[in-house]
Amino acid sequence: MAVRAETLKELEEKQEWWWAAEKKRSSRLDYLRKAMWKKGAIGGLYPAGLYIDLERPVLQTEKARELEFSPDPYVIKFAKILAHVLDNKTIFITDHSQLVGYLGSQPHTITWDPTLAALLNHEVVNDPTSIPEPMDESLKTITDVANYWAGKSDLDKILPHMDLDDAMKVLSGAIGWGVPLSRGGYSGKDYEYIMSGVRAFEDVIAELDRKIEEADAKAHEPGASKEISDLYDKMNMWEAMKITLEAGIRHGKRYARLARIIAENFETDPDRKEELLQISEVCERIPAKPPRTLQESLQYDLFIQLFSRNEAIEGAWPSRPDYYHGPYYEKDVTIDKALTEEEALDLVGEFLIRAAEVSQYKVRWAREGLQGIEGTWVWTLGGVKKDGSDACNAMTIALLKAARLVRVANPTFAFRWHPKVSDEVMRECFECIRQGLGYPSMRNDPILIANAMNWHGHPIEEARTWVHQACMSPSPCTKHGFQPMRMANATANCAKIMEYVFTRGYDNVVNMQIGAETPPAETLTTYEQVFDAWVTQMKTIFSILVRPVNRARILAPKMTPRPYLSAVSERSVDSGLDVCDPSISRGNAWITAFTWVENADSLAAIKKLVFDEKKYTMAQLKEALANNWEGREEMRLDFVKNAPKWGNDDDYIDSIMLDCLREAAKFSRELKCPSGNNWPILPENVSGNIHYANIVGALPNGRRLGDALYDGGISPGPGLDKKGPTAVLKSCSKIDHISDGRAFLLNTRLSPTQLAGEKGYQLWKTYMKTWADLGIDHVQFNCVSDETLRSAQRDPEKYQEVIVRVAGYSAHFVDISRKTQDNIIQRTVQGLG
Amino acid sequence: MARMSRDDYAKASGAFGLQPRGVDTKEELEQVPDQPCGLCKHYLESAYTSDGRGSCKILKEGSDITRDPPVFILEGRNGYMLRILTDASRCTYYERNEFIDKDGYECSDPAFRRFMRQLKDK
Repeated sequence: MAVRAETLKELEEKQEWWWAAEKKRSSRLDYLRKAMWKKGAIGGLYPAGLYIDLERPVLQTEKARELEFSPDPYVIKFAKILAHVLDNKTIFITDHSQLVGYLGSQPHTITWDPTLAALLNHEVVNDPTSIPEPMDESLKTITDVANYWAGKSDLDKILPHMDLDDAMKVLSGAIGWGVPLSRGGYSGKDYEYIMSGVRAFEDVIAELDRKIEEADAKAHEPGASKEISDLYDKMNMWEAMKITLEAGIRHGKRYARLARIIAENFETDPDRKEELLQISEVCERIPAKPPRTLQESLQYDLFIQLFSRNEAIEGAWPSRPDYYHGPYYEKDVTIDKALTEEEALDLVGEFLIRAAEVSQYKVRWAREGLQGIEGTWVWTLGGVKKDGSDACNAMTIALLKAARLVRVANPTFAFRWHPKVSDEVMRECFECIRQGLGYPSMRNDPILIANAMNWHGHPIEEARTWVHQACMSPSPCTKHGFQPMRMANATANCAKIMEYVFTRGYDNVVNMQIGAETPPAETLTTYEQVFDAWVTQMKTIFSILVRPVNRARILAPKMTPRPYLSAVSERSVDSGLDVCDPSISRGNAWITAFTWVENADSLAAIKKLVFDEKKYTMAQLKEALANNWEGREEMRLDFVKNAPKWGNDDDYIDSIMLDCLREAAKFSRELKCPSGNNWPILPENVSGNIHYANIVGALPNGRRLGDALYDGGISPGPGLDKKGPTAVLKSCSKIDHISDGRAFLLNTRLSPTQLAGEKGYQLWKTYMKTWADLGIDHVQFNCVSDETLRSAQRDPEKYQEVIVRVAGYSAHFVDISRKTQDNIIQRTVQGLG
Repeated sequence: MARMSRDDYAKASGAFGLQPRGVDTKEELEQVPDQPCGLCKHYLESAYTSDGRGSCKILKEGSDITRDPPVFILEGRNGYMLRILTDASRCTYYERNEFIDKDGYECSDPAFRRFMRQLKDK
């Protein structure tokens, strides 16, 4: 990428923020940012130049073969496989870097975990772009690995214990996505235990040794009981945890040795030599002992995350980096002055880059649903401390500044707004939004803390520790509050609820009876009957999705344990039980509700045009939908243009939205997770609205099969919110954001011209005040002009760095499919003021 | 569906088709039938098609196009589950798809079936 000739001021005036960032950042950050391999799929395929890393699957398979007939219990075998990978995988240190660690053996590789599911392995076999050369040789390795794990993968173990009818429906891909596995989804972490600075791996190992010693003594005293019998399993679990932590320490020391070897034998630049020796010192200590400096703290965090991704495919990165790294930043920069602000920014910026590089091979539906990114690394900033005081610190500001310098699309930030946030921090948030990053998304902290207490009964001190477990969903990071695995298949493609009302639950796209056999649509003679059918379909779909997750959570501790995640979780170190064991979790489950607003718009159209105005009959509508509106264009346009649409402060449809949400909320309290807690819904979309476009049939809101669905959450349909930003906020504020669901995503597009200068900030601040006063829990902004986006479509090479907010995440505009690009451009640009 | 043994149920419902038992050797894998289901107009992709799964728009569960003579069931509750590389040479309902674009870049484009590595030259 060539450096632009314009001055920084000129670039900023033209709002070419990506070029301006290049001029502003240090030469180290510039090098590291450009040396970074973007791993997000373009549309649904991995970009050219990236290859599947075969080293790790080969290591896993060779160790598994070696242990096949060992008398070790499964959990210890699994821990040994993980340790084998950490002990033997190729490691490297990027030039100019100060932080180390990567999942793959080379920077341009994507790691593949063959232990998860045979269907994932099949996809690797079929991958058209990422099989490394020489292909013949690679295919031999891939088929050998895939054949070994066939019948032994996690899904192979879990599936026979599922209800096959439910499993078939989930795996059809029509109503949800994902698989119910404890080693594939979104892992929360017990940060209050492992990131609080008072303990690190050696301390936990000492605790595990104590536990094993005590249990061993108890198990061999005269006597017999269930408690003693259970101790044998617990001792195995503690032993497995210890194996993974010891491997983690050895892995850190491998980096220490490598950095020292390079420094002492190869590096000629004395400054860089010094840095390498510093890396060596850091990795001699980390993760064995608690960090003392910002560099050690960031390295510790990075190792914790990477080890976890060696154990499981993690599609999210729940984190609160300003809260946990803030004390080290303050100490190094403000108190000890060991680092200048610029030096600290280099470390913080590099931390974002290291996270942006992390990638694990995912199935195509996941890549399509998360176009442009590797997973939803939504890091949580701001918020309050456990005592309710403002948690923002200098690290909050450093992270927001660093984000504008490195401009990675992943991780993104979500900011926990509360009334005590300072103007300085708000300006930093605004600056990121104004400069088109699409983040931070703004979260209403008081509302969401109350929400966590309402839905899951988290005590207030724990609720205040919440982080984003995925794009949107709050989860505490405390001993009993954090959710170790959010299994992604409790993700409902809610537009199917409406579709099934007209097909009696039969899915014409995947050719299966999935929903309930409600009465034929043509026999429904009142709107209330239609709504009853909708409620029945909603309950059926939610139940089908939730039951396999519940089942898998119960099976996971024995069949798919997670010794490493358990080892960094107080609940498991204390109890000797796997971290996923429901008995030691309070529960924090939720159903992600994709494609939700289509239901309200469709029901309103039916109510108005069929039952109020009697322009059409249900039979006519059913026939039109069955034929995908073909030959009925005039009728279709009637349903698009002359029916009320959500987001216009129109009580006619807004009350229907509330009816839908409240029926779902009522049912959410009947659906229970294995810990006995509720399953609230959480409307949001990632880019599922594009992925599902060909899977959802025609709908009464005028949508045809293949048309993009709405962009999600409670965002109005693109272009259908015609009464301005306040009307959108007022519609959204009719929802009770504490009791109607777990959270509600709201996309908003603002004009970059309008946000320019101090006036822009004041306009945005006024908007945010209205948003906060109305008690809405979420809002996120796209602030890139149509002109820029159209230009990026025409000349993608020139606009490689333009970032947009897709849904609960941001992505580089050029990395998302044309259909998604168009969908973002179609969103209404709201004028403020 | 009436209660039956899990094994019988799995066979009848096609559940085994959803979770592949394993892959063939590399050599077997490269043998793409001349008439694979993935290129048929009646092949229905699901959200998981990229690992090879799908169903037939015409045939219902209980069908078996790999047998000689093939079994065609046209009535039933669920579609016939098959895979993208299922050999459809005996299927009398086979109609080859005509692809419109050439690059198949878009996700959700039926052409992405050719992104199955084995189908790209077909």
